[in-house]
Amino acid sequence: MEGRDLLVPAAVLGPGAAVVVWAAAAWWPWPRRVAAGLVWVASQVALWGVFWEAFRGEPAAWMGLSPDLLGATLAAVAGGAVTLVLPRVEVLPPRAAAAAVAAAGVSLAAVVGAAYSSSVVTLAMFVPVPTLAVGLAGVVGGRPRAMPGLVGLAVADGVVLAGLGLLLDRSGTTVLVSAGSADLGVMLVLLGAALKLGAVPHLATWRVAASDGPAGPLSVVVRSQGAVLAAVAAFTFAEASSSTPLAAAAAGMTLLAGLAALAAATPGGALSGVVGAGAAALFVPLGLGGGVGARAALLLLPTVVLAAGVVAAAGWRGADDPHDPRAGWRWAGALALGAGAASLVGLPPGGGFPGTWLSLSLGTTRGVVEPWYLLLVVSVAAGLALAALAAVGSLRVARTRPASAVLTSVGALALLYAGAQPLRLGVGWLLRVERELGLPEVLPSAGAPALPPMGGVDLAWAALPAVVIAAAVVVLGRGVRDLA
Amino acid sequence: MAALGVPLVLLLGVCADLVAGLVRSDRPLRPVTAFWSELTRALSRAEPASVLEAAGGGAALLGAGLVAGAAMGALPGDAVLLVLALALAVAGAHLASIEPQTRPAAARARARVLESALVFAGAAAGILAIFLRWHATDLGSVWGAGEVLGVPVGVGPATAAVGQVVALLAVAAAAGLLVPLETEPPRGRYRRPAAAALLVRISRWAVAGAAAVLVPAFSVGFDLTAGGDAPSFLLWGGVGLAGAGVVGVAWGALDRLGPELRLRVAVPGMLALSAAGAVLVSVA
Repeated sequence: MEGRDLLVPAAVLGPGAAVVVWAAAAWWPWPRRVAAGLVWVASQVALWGVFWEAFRGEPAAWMGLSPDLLGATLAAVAGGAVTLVLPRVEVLPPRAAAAAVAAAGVSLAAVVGAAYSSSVVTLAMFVPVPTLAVGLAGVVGGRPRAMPGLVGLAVADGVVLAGLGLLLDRSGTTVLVSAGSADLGVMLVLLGAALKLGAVPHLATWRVAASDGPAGPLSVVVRSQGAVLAAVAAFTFAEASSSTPLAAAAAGMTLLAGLAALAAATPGGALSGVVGAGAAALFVPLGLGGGVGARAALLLLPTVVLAAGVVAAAGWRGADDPHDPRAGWRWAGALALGAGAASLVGLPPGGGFPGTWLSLSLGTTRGVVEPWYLLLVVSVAAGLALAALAAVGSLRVARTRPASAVLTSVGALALLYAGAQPLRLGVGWLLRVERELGLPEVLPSAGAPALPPMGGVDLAWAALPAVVIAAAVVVLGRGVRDLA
Repeated sequence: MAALGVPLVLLLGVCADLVAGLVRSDRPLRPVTAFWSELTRALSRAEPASVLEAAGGGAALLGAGLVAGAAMGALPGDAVLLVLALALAVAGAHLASIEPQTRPAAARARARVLESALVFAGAAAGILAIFLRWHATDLGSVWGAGEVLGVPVGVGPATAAVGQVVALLAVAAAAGLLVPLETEPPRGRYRRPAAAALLVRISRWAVAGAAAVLVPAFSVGFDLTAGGDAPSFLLWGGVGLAGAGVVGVAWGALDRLGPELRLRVAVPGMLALSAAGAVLVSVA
């Protein structure tokens, strides 16, 4: 058995194994953390190993799980996002921590399995697992305020399973194959994905994320599952075909999400709204369809998942959270939270900027011919602007100790790196995924927007005087004081 | 050349602030004297800004710099980039203006955010309407048409030209509403440390300058990085200063209104202006 034959089983089973090790050493906090941490790190290495093999064009396989490049990417990013929130939940009171850590491991394993699956039946098997795990974490953790959200998640599971059932019935095969268009089955799966991503205001993941129990930060793993389901529905089943009702609904949802973020009574609710707006905006290019819409969605999927992880890790305020509101490292968490929020609303230089730019550019290009698309663009821009402004007041809630501060800062830097459009994004990963999925080709010579023409060098030159002036004022003030 | 964007918007923003001061019937040089006072206060004693205020100031400058870079031709000037960069500038300015968390401050912040978001939507609609007038999605196409047909604002049917001017006015007026309110709260309220006050003032100039720089870009614009004759540069600069003047008039007039009248009268008025520009351009 070669080493690469162990990659997929390690990636799928590793998170669960880490949880078992953590539980087995329950009476020794620091040995527990070291041992379980090593197993967890090994599972993350396996996730990225599977990604690398898929990137090279030699995907690993195991027991019917054969990840394509997009699935491997989403699984690896989901692993990273869950890793970000683990230091926050691991220090909760014992019962809540045990429930949360167990839920994180089990549900991540389910998300990875779903991302790697090539069968409708396998995909369907994994659908309810994160909901059950996160729900148990919420109940065992003694915070029933998440229950309405969990009921919504259960409904989302039902909707997804109904959609998968329709698709299975229509195709007559358990293999994931194209349905030819965005029919009812595809729409049901997309609706369930939207609920799981937290794109629908005050339903499902939206409410779970805003709760103060251990289910709150674990919402990131449910969002990851939503991203996987959205990718499967839009690219495999629907072959990136366009759907005007979906695009219009997504634009309306983005605007509603922004308004809900503004109207939120708590910073947690506002941050849930910010993530919701970013998640809703993801469905706009899925609705616009075609090569450009698909490319925009491909750019947004991993960044939405990672940014949601950064926001959850840095911005969650739990009822039993032992983190000191005046924790010394919270300034780093606040900056990371800002970078995550900027990525979600598509502002440069955040990671969501390339995808948001492509999505709105497609809408604007179509709007030159059909002006109603401009209404769609303005709605999305307004919703994202509302969310961006609503996030401003929430940045000060960051409560991060050194471990969380370092991890969220790494996540934020990864988002900024993606926003600068490194060469591999355009030439490597993106083209490989598009070729593998058989998506329509983007033809810049025909006037289609390709990728934002502004890259890292341009951003650096534009940012240089801004950084110099801001730094000069900081030096004048002789340092910085605590958050406002 | 992209690095020149920030100094350009700051220059236009200072001009707009001076005009706004005249409209507010304040001492004409008050923005400059206030800046000097904050600078000397910062030099004489340690009054640091917070991390968030510094980040907000940097973000506002970056967003405004991106808008100016696009307006000069140093950066790609497509419609979406302009809108997103303007959003970054506004969000950064709000972050730089963040106040300590009290209930009245939270209520004020919420009202300002709602106002800014509505105004931003109107400004975005105005910008897109101008691009729609040219059936283009980037400034390069607008300038190219202008090179062939003449000065961009004067070409084509009168309705379209009027619509473009109205939309430009709406964008300039929006700047007056997008700039966060006065940095010096009334007596008894929180007094910003000097460095924080500097960042707020610079952020306000950045937002005002970003709106002002769009006026020459859409009316007499060309790629400044490709060179040109001196009269063209002078015309561009003159129109830029005029744009700063329009922004300053709007800014000063709206500052006198107060928060309630701004939300009930000024914001709907600005949105109506933007919608009128879009309609005029569409029917041309």
